[in-house]
Amino acid sequence: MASKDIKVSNHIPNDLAFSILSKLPIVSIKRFSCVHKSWALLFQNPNFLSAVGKNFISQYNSFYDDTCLMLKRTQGYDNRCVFDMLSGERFENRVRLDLPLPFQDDDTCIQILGSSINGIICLYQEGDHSKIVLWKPTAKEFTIIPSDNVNYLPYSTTLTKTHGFGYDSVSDDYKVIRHATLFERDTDSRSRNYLEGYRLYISKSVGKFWEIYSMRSNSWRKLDIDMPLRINESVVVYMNGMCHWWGIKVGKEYVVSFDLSNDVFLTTPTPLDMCDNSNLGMVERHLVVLNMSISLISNYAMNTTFHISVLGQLGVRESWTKLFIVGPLLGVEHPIGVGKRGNIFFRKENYKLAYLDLSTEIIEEIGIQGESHFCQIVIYKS
Amino acid sequence: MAQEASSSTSSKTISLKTGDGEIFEIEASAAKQMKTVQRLIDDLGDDITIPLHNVFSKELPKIIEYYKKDITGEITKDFEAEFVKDLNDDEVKVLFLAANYLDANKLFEFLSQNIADRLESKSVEYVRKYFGVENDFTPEEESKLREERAWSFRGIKEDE
Repeated sequence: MASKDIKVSNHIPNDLAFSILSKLPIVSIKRFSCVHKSWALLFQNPNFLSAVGKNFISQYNSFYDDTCLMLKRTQGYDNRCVFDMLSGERFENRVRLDLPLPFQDDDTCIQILGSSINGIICLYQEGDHSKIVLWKPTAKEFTIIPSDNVNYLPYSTTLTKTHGFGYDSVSDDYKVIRHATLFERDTDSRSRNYLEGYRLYISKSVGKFWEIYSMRSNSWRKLDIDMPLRINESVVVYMNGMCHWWGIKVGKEYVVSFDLSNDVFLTTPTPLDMCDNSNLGMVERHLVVLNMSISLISNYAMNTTFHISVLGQLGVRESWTKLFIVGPLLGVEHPIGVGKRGNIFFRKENYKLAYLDLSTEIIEEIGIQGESHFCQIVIYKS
Repeated sequence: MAQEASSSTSSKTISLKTGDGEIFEIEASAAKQMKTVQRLIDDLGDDITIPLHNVFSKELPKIIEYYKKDITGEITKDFEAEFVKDLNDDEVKVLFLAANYLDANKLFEFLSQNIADRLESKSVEYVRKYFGVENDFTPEEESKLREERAWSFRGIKEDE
């Protein structure tokens, strides 16, 4: 360890090493655990990881330049939707958006799928997911994606669930992924009085498959693939040619990552450190993108302490790295989206919307109320 | 902090003497950014040559160059990139340690980020040598850990 350089010691003391190591990316930190036992220990220290987290979210990424936020809120018992564009350092600039034509007569239960890609937002309606619209609010343009499909059998009804909207740079094409379940159409006249959805649940499923829509061909193509299904209306994200969603298969939960250029998918099981616990309750998970990395915000049900883990490498369960434990956060309900610089937006118990700045761990209200539970915030870049 | 008895701070220069005996001039406002230097000025006065035993003639001019730009508010990403462009990893390390000794926070933070960027894709062996740290894992412990972290070794040349 003694240096040949008589003027300056070769050795970097631990406190100085901390300053360098906390600025490394997660994959490097995991590898350098092998350098020395004290390093392996340091890398598990919550203070160190918090410093890593703060450096990680403040890393500059040009993607976030010139972005604003799109906020969707639902109002009233029938969940009618309003959309606003928020901009400015404290989100003080608000512009109400007019819904695209297909939704003007029926503006209930609209969901945003993913976030914006080249200024385009994908919207669909909860329930049957059959109306999918690609919307460019800044140009007031929209495209309706055809919902019928030659793959469907003539004597069946289909229930579809959208799973992703993304851009394939290899074929320069916008794509939408969805899963379809076919049911026998009940020909009994009495059952036509029941709600369509209820009828389907008691009908027999005669087929299930995944399909992908290509804007270039304006058609749906069947995929020979078996992926975990999206959990309810959980968040879907798009990043760098891949769609990611929170999925479940045989009772196990995964982040599913689908590559739009080659129809290949990866699954990453949940981090091992938090599981459903009889004392602490079920774990709620929210999939988000923090500074261009897939991340999970987890909390035990009814608990407002949030554990934030970033995925070091897609497909590798061991690479989940918990960088932040924040809370308990007073009066906060659940995350509704993420802005830039790792700002996490929440709805509070008093209906007010607020964001948590991860670098300061301070919560700030933005002066907007979200009436119903179903608020969404996504990053919008035109 | 000692009050300046004479004219405005910005026009006053301080003399700094390195560990290898060379003398460099720095503006008092730049000296303020190096807390160690400022403390010595407070103790010894600003008229005498301040001795810096642990900083040498190779590093000090570079540090002075950085803070000259800092006091005119001209530090940009381009300047910082240019500043370290021709330095090898060891030269940056020496500068980093000097910035620490001088308690020059802005330069210290910048250089620690630069070192992190340089080490990001390096091997475990390289990092051990760089930090002057000896491996204290047994061969069995190390291979077990490497196996657990195999995914983090992908694409890394181990002998570099």
